[in-house]
Amino acid sequence: MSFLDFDFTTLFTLSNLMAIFLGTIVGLIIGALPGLGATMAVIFLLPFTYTMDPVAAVLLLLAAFQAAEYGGSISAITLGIPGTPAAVATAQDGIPLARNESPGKALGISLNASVIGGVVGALCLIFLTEPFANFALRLSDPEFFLLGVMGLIAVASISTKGEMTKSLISVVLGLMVGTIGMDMFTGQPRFIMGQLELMEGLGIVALLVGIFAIPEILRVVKDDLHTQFASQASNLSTKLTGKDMKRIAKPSGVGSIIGTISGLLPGLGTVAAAWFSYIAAKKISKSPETFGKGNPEGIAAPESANNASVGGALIPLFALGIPGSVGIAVVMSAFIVHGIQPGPRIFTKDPTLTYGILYGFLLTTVALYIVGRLLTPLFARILVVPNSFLMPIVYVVAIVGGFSATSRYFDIWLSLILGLISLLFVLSRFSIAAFVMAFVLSPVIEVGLRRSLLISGGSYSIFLTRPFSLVFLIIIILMLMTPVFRKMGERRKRNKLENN
Amino acid sequence: MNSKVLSLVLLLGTGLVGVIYYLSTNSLKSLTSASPGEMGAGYFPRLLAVILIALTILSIIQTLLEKESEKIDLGNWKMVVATIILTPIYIFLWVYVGYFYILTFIFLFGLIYLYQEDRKSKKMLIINVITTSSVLVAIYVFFGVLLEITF
Repeated sequence: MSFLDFDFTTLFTLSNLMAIFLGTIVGLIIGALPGLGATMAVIFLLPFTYTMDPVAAVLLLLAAFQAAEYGGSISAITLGIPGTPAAVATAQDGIPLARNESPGKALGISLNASVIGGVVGALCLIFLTEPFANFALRLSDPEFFLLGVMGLIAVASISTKGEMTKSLISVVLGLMVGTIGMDMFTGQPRFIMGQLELMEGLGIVALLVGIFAIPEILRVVKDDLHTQFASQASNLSTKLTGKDMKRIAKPSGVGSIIGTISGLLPGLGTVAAAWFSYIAAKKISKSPETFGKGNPEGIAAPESANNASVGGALIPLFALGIPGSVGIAVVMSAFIVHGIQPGPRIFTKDPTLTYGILYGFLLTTVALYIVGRLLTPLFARILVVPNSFLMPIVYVVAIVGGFSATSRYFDIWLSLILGLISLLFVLSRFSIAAFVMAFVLSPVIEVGLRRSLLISGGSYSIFLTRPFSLVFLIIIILMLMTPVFRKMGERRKRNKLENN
Repeated sequence: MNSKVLSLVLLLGTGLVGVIYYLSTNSLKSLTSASPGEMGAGYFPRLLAVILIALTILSIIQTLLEKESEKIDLGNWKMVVATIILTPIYIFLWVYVGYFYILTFIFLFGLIYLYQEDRKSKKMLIINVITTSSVLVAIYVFFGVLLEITF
């Protein structure tokens, strides 16, 4: 089945459309709330997906992810506080434009650019994933093992600034936690400590609530409990003129391309995409001197980029089974919950589901535009809800959500214990993102390694004798060496300065 | 709290986990007798344990060699500690006593009350009751009715 043979009536069902619109609304709200972000939006909705049809479940999460990326700009523009890390780039010009002209215009630029980015990301996803998957069919277990390792090192090297060793420890801990449960090859129980609940491994929702949601909420309680937000609640119409649209077309296009490429590369994610495109838009702009002073191009480029990167990050998930970002890793867990293994064979194994998700992702951008146009002014007003009310609500709902996924009391305790441990690890700059990526990729990596060694009769030379493996191995070594090279360069620069 | 001390404590804990994890793999077979090169259930975990212990030692050395040590900003730590103490009590009562909705109402109301700067304000108490009740209704509708979860 090719993508043109897809039966669209299977996509336009009430449950799928409701999932898309519900995901968009929740994503917009959570993305707009400072301190929560896109990954939290996905985690928040994950428990609801257990009882849903797989296509609707994944579309719910993707719609939330997509919408949260735009939602982050609402608080950046109306409050001056970016709702997501990627929206920090948007805030550079979003805040001045909101002050000097109108918040509505800034939000309109952000919304339209987000939709352009989302559409470009979705089209790349639809047209590029299958060729990538066809290429990936030429790869085998040694390459998948190395691709998994590469993804983890990429996330580890970016997620915690200057603490590479701690990030690598986070990766290994994530892989170790992923080994809990029944061994896939021999059926032997591993590290279950007498708890039968652990035979199928740690519950993904309980784990995510524990290591992501609880520390994040406690961090806000620690640092921003009584922060007072003053929202610019007037002039919030997001309607743009033709002239405005013409002005943002070029930076949105550039941002979309950069965003899609950044999403494709594991570990880079939306933050890097937003900043790269902001810098690129400034370079190609006719008025670079107005960047940082309310230039619409400075909003359009990062906003289109962070939405395009969502589609880009889905390409390696479908083509290789490797998520391009930690948020997509959480989306991947919804696949796992429904017994679907993403990867190159998904197109032949489950074409209706795969194309349903790919085309459905395009629909999430349509939903984003409709909901964004209608409800942005309302969301901008919701933002003034104080954290002292908001955080307890999110905390309780997260705990209840963690329980509802499996209805096991064991999982609530697990979330709590993991949450407290994670809080300490976050304070000490370990990487939670690297841990989650490793946990999700643990089966891929272990299966890849063990099957590779089975093929080679236990010899590690298999990773050196296959051309693709060798290329991946060289890339991994270069990635590991990058911090060393960087440090050497910095030292050389410092020495030069001291000598001068 | 000092960031260096916290790092060292966590790294020592991580190292200990690595050792316990390694020892636990003794009960698992590293190789299977079925075919040459077939790794057993213990092979990958053992590899991970060795890498973890090596990385932990490296990180301990790096931490000890650090010249600067930041003070960790504990911010509103009293509220964090109160939340950490109240949560297991809430979960314990939920698991062993039941009455989920009543307990959740008390827990949520209590947290919101605790987090307020002006706890004596009547307006705040009224908003708190309305907020908590609305959240409980939402939980009942979404989880209890739509997802048919029995708490």
